[in-house]
Amino acid sequence: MAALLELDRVTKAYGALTVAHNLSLTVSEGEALAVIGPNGAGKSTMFNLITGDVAPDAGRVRFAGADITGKPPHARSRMGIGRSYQIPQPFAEMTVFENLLVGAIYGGGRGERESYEHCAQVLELTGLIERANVAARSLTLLQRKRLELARALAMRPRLLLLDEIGGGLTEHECLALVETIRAIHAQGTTIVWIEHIVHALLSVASRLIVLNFGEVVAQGEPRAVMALPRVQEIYIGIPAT
Amino acid sequence: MNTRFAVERSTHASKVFAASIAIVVAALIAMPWWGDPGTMHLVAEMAYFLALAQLWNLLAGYAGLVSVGQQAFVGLGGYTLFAITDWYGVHPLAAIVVAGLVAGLISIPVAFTVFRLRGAYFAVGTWVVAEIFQLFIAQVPRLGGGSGYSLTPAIVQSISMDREIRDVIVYWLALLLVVAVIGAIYMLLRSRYGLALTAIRDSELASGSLGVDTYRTKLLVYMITALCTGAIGAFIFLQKLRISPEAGFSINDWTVVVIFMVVIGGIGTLEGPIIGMFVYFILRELLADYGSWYLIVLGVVAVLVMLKAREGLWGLIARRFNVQLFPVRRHLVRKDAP
Repeated sequence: MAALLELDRVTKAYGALTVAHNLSLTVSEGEALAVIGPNGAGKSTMFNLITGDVAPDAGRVRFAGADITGKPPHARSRMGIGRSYQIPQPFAEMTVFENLLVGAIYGGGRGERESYEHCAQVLELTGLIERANVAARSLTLLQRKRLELARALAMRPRLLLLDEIGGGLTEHECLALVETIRAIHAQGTTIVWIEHIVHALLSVASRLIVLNFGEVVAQGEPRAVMALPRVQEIYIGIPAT
Repeated sequence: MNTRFAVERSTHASKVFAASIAIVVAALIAMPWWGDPGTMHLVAEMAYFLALAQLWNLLAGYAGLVSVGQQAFVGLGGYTLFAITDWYGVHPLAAIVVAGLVAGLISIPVAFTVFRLRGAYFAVGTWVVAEIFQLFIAQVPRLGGGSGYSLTPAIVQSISMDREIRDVIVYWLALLLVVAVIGAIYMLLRSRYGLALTAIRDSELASGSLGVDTYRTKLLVYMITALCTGAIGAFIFLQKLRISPEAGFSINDWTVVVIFMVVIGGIGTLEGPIIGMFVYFILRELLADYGSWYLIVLGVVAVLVMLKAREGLWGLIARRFNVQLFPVRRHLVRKDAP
């Protein structure tokens, strides 16, 4: 499979705090990659470096064969990088439907009228269709997380970056979310998913990477990686004996 | 696949509002036949203040550019009109358009300077730019230097020899300007650019990651606002017949009062500045005989609204009754199966 996304020795530090240290990573077209790591390990920073919300101190970011290191976020999203934010960032006074239209028109590069049907379908897929015409500020936290996913999908991204969209869900809701993401992946969208709910990740992802202190400390087949003693120690807090 | 969804824009309230607005505008156009010159003068003043308020609202309320230096473009527009009518004999009405274009052009290098600043620094930066323009113009003897500049009777008479007809033309011009400005902003907000602007207003971070070029959008809004503000400045001083650096670049008249209207009425809505403009003029007329109490009451009202109703008076009304008079929203509706 061809590499869709490539991080090449990317480094980012805030003063003495290094949040990405010589981080290298390749994501293949069509892959579903899971990312775990303790709080502060640099997971969200990695997303910010990919989307351009944060500029690296060193290293290159490549997407679909092009060097995008110097490109602003809007240019990257137009190339096909969609993301959700860990802390939802809804357009609060716009309706849920209009939130999606922004993604479809600007990120997706489509006309307004030809976007209506697609946005409505995404709302159905993500279970938000009944809330289409309410202001996004009146959504519950769970619905806001759904909106993060829906808005990114409205862009029809090639690469979808999901930042803890499953947090706080009940078991039943989590299963529904996993099914939704599995369906999106099956349609050919490449996915990188940060999540603390490991079993949800394992049911979708074919590869798992573990981040700590801004570095990849383990990667490979998800169940094998989870079984590694140093991963158990870092992530679950069980000391290796 | 069949289309199962459609989008509706207007609401019942908005249709009633549009009809009422049409009646009010028609009555105002006919005012020379039923009103007195004093009322016409007041309505013209309300009109250009409302236009300035809507422009500042577009800039600050939507694009997030909290400028306190818009008087720069009012003054530049005014001075441009005086200069080109006096020096080159341009007709005053054409000069209003030229003044707008000049202000828009000057806003480009200004934008590249002040856009390097963020938040409060941006606000201070725009103010400094306005002060620099004022100081610069006061140094130009051909523009009257520090003491100001008057339009010659010949220029004024080129609009019409008859004073009454002239007053009517100026009054209609004020109406035309405010209707054009509000109409243009309304069309802008209804279009796809309105989606981008509203998105930037609500979350600049998310706008960028959804493909909105936030820098370019803001730059465009800054230039359009400067252009329209310049044209209105030219109109204001054509009506006043006299300009000076203090009057042209007055932060109190052209920015503080305008911010008051927008904040009181409700920032980030088209309805808010209209309500704010009425509140300002009602207070001004009521308190006209009480000297400095006027400013104290304005200040108290502003503080109260900011503490008790941060979304302004329109925000209170809109939430309470869930209405929108200018239908800029899109409602997704399911089409019934055939």
